[in-house]
Amino acid sequence: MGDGGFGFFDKRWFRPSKDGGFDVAVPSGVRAMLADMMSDLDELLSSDNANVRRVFPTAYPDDAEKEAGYQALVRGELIDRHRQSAELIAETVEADHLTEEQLNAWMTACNALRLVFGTALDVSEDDSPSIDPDDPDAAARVAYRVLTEIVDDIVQALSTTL
Amino acid sequence: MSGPSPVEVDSPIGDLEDALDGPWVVIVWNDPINLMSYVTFVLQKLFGYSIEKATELMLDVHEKGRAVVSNGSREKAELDVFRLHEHGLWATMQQD
Repeated sequence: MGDGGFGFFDKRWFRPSKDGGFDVAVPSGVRAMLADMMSDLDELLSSDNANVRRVFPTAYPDDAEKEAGYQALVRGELIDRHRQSAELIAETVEADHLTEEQLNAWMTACNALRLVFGTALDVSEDDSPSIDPDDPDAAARVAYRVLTEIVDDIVQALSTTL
Repeated sequence: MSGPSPVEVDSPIGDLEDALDGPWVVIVWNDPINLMSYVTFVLQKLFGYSIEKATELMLDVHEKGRAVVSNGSREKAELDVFRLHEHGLWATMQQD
């Protein structure tokens, strides 16, 4: 597992607010990036792209028949839920305030994208935090790091509700 | 005159098989993508574990490669697996 955001950003992007929801202070550049990526998520999850395999893990590694039954049952449901979360992010990407339910949707959608990027980049637990600007995957690595920061920050905020 | 017409019932055999099946366990496996903080939070959120218990399970996943996070009937285990998959965790189930 990864050990969390690299603390690059001093201010928390998501903070519990007095009314039980959460204040959102995500920089506009990051919001634009999110809106862009979320518009691709639905298409990506419905494709044959091998990089989405971590979004649809195996449930029954020892029983092909039960596994086929499980996938038939849940694949469409998982795609629908991620699509709804991605749409919700697209609709609320400029919001200053989110409900707990909305923030949970932000979290699961951003994490699903991390799974796709992480698979494509073949990340490992020992990866260096620095990004080589000459790396052809640099943009994807930056996106992955920003998504990581978002998920970690949301977890911190939502943990106050447990 | 006719008596009450026979009522069709779904065969209970499937449920019976599940009931006699014995317990299933749900396992979460380590992966290089999910954050430790995220795994801990999801275990608390989905199963109501204390932060201490969730952290202990997460560390087992991280250090030993896997941990049993819940158990029960096949139906319950499958639902738990689905909820874990929805959160992007790599979870599988097997008979205890």
